[in-house]
Amino acid sequence: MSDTKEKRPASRARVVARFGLLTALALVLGWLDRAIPITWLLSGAAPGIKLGLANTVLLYAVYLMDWRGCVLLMLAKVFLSGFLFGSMSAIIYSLSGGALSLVVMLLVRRNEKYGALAIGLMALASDVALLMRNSAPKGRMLWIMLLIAAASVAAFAGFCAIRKNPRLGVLGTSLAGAVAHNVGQILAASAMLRTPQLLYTYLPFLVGMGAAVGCLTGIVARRVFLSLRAPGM
Amino acid sequence: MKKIILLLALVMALAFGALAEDAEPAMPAGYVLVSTATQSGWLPLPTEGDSVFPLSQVLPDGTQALNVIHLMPDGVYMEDSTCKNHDCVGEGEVTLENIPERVLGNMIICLPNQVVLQLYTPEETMAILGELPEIPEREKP
Repeated sequence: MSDTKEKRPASRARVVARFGLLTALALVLGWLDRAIPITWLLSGAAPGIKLGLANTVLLYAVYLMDWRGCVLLMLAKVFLSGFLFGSMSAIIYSLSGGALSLVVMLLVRRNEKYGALAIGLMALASDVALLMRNSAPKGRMLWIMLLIAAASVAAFAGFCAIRKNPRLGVLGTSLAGAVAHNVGQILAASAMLRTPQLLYTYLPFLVGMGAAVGCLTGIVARRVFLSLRAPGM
Repeated sequence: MKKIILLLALVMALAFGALAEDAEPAMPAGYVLVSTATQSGWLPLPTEGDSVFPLSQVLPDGTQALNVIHLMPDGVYMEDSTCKNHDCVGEGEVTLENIPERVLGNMIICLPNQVVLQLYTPEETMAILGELPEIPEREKP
C-alpha cells in the first residue's frame, strides 16, 4: 500500500530512510520554530504563535506517504520533541494540534482548492469578529487585522490559482493544516484550563494567524516539492 | 443660647463628616478571576497602591508551581512565574482600558502552570457572580 505513487517500487530501506529523514527534519525544524520569536516580531503579547516549519514536514508526508506513515510520523514528532524540549502538557497540546491538522490535511489532500476557499472564508470571518470587538483598532491590533485580511485575500487567490493549476494544490493543504493545528491546540488548551472563554477570545486571532502562516509554509512547501520533483506534484 | 447652637452645629458637622467617610469606602475598579487546574477565586483590585498575590500550587503532575500576581488599582500583570517559557510574564498588563487592544483580551494565561487571570469590571463581575465578591474571605483560590 505504501508508496504506490512512486515510480520505482519502494524498497523497505527506502521507506525507512525517508521516515527517518522526515522525523529528523521535523525535530530540527521544531527547534527552529521555538528559536524564531515570531510571536514577538508579529504581535507582541500573543503566546502560541509559531512559524510552523515543523508542520511543513507533516505536509510533505501527506504527499509522500500513506496515512499510516503520516500518523506514525506525527506521533514520533510529537513525543520525541515533547520529551526533548517540552513537558507532559506540551505533548498534549501538540498531539491535539498535530492530530487535527493531520486529519484535515489528509481530507483536504483530495480537494485542495476547497481547503483554500474554506480557510479564506474563516480568516475573513475572524477578521470581522476581531473588528466587531474593536472597531477602531490601532497600533499592533491594526497590523494584526491587516495581516489577517491579507491572509484571507491570499487564501482566496490560492483558491483561484489552484482551480487554474492543480499543481499548486499544496497551498490549500498547507493553509488548512496550519489553521487546523491552531484550532486543535486552542481546543486542548481551553479544555485543560477549563476556560471556554479562551476559545471566544483567542480563536479568531489563531485562525487568522494560522491562515497567514499557512500561506508562507505553503509557498515554502511548493518550492521544496519543485526541487524534490516529488511524484504527483 | 448662641453657644449651645454653635456647639450643636459643631457636633452635627462632625457627625456628618464621620458618616460621609463611612459611607464611601473606596470600591475596587475591577475584579480578577484567578483559575488554576483545580480551583478558582476572585481578587479585587487594590483601591490604593499596588499589591502582590503569590499563587502557590501543586500541579497535577506533582511539581510545585508559583505565580506572582501583581495587582494595581487599574489592572493586573504576572510579575513572575516558575514556568519555563514565561509567556505569562511577557503577556504584559491588563488594565480596564487596554482590553480591546490586547490579543488575549482580558486574559493572562500561564499554560504550563495552568493559571488563567481574567480582569472584569464590577458590572461584569456582578453579571457573572450575581454579587460582588467578599473582599478578604474568597480571595485565595
